[in-house]
Amino acid sequence: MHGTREIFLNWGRIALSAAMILGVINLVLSHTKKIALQNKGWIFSLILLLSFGITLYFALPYKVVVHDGVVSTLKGTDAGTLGYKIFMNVYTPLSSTIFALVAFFIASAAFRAFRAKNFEATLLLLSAIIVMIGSTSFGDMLLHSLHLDQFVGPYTSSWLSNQIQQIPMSAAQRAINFGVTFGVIFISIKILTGIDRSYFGGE
Amino acid sequence: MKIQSLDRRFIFLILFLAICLSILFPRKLHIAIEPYVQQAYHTIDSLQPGDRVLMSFDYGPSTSLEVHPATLAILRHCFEKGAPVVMYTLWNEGLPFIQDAIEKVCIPLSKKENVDYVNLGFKWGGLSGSSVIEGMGSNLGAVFPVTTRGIPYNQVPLLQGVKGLKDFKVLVSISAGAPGIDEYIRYANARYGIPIIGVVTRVGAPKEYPYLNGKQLYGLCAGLVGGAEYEELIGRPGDGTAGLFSLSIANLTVIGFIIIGNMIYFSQKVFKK
Amino acid sequence: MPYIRSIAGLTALEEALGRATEMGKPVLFLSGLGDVDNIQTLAALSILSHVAYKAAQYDLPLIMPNVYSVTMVTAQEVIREAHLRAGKPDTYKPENVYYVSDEQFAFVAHTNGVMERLRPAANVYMGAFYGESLILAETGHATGAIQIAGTAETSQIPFFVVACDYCLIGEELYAASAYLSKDPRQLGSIKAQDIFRVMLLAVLLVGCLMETFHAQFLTRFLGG
Repeated sequence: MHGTREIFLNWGRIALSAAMILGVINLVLSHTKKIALQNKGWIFSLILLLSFGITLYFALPYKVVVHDGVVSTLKGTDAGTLGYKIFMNVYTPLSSTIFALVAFFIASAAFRAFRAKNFEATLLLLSAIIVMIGSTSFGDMLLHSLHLDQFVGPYTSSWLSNQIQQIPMSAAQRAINFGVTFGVIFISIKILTGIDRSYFGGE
Repeated sequence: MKIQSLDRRFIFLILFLAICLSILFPRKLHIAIEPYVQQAYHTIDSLQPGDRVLMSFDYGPSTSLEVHPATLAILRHCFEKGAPVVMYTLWNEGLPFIQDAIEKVCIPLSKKENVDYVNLGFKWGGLSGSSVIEGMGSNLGAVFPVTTRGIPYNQVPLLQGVKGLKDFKVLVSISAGAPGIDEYIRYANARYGIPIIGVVTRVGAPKEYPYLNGKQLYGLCAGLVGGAEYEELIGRPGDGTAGLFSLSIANLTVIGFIIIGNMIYFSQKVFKK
Repeated sequence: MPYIRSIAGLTALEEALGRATEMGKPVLFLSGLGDVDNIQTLAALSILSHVAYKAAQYDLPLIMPNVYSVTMVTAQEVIREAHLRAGKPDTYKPENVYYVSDEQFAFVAHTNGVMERLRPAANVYMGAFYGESLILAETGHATGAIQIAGTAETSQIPFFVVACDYCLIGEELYAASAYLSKDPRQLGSIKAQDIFRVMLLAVLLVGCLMETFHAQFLTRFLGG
């Protein structure tokens, strides 16, 4: 049984590799066309293809090394290689930078959208504030500075934030997950029995 | 009226300045330990020398800043307890972070490769990773026949006598998506009973609370704050503690924007009346 | 025909496409960060079929960057078929459906650039989205597009609810194909879903009451 599983997994890995090649070919062709026709922004396509080529050149190599009588393999992405340095010093900071934009967009979304227009919006707004204050130490520090901590006891802002996340938030997520599970089961049945063929171009 | 249609770049600028100032003038904050981080700490603290730990580095560069501090802290704690660690990943982007953990924790602590730790590398298992996890459950050597150095499984001293998941005391799942912690709970804990500790992003943490309450997870470190709390527990401040003040300032700035936005909204309503 | 309540996000699709036609701007469709083995992506492709059909009827350019090449090929086929059904096979442009990158934030960076440059009038986000959901939604809002989102990722639903004009929550994404097609068999499956949900609710309530009074028969029976 395990052997069969490995066979199917290997087939899956081969198919995945083939799919990657398909994607790379599409990428290279579309950007090469853009450069050849000198469409608007063709210089960025050139930078993309150069970055792709350079990273591939340094990350692909694979060699066998012998160290202290132990034979081992060194890949282009192992520690110390240029491929690894490109990943850690170029790709990782870039990826983290784009993800860091979420913080700024949260701020602009909070300013724009968190308005107490009705009861539900007010509830959302108050929950957001309590959870955010509870995630920092400032809530507890504020209670301490106002000498209120002796009155609230263990029921601090971080406790309240945890309660909101564990009780109503968990309940809502479980409810959505129940619905999603049923949705997955039924859409799977529809796809497997051919009732719904629109995902593959049918009506 | 003018503030209502404020260019959002001013909001970005204010937030940027707030974070810059918090980095330039850092302060140490009191760190309140969440019960689930405490639980994770106790699970690792109860390990005996020689108890093996599995660590799955299922995250990429974008979320590394959130989960990597807790990862390094837990790894350090495992070595303090004399527990050897087997590291691997189901995400191809996770490989460099295993390397980074080796460079930042294993090497400075003079830990021996293949004896105190081993890097089994990356294994693709599709979106669910179920086939890999189930394979690991019964026959780890078949799933990872060689280490990243090309050394055969049966020649690694740390893995002598290890058949599957049952030979490990704890599995630490550092997860930023799928396959990740949910799959380990579903396939590893449910089938093989291995205790799981989770390290997740702050946004993904509420999804895991039902598993904590249902005693399927034995601890959870959420985001940078979770990392800072774990560092506080082991007494070794690191990146988590360093980032906590800036994170708190950013949270307060966003709260400030919410309050200002509502003040404008209500003043406009009064003005219209 | 079984009665299904109105889903605002799906009703607004028509409005969004109409708006794009009036403004003479393209429509951006994203099927999320899942591959074709992700059920959310399949649900998104089902919705794409309807959107592409309408876009073909209105002669609207439909731009669709993709994270996975297999999804790209599938989407190309879906859109091509939609153009055929609309009787406009010559308006189909395969270069509008293309592969970007397997990497999450490389894809997001590209898509944000597309939104800023092309300024689509309508953005449709259907499928599995993760940390990039707010980046996409906020950038789309800044460009003035009408935004309709749908995902089953519970951690991203709040971001879409706050930042988009309409949001399909959880199972509404999976019901969308049936809702848009108006096929009685598919609508019937949604009714069956509702019946099962009521049955589950009844089991939950009975189970909670039994546990409250320490009668663990049902828990043991279901737990095995």
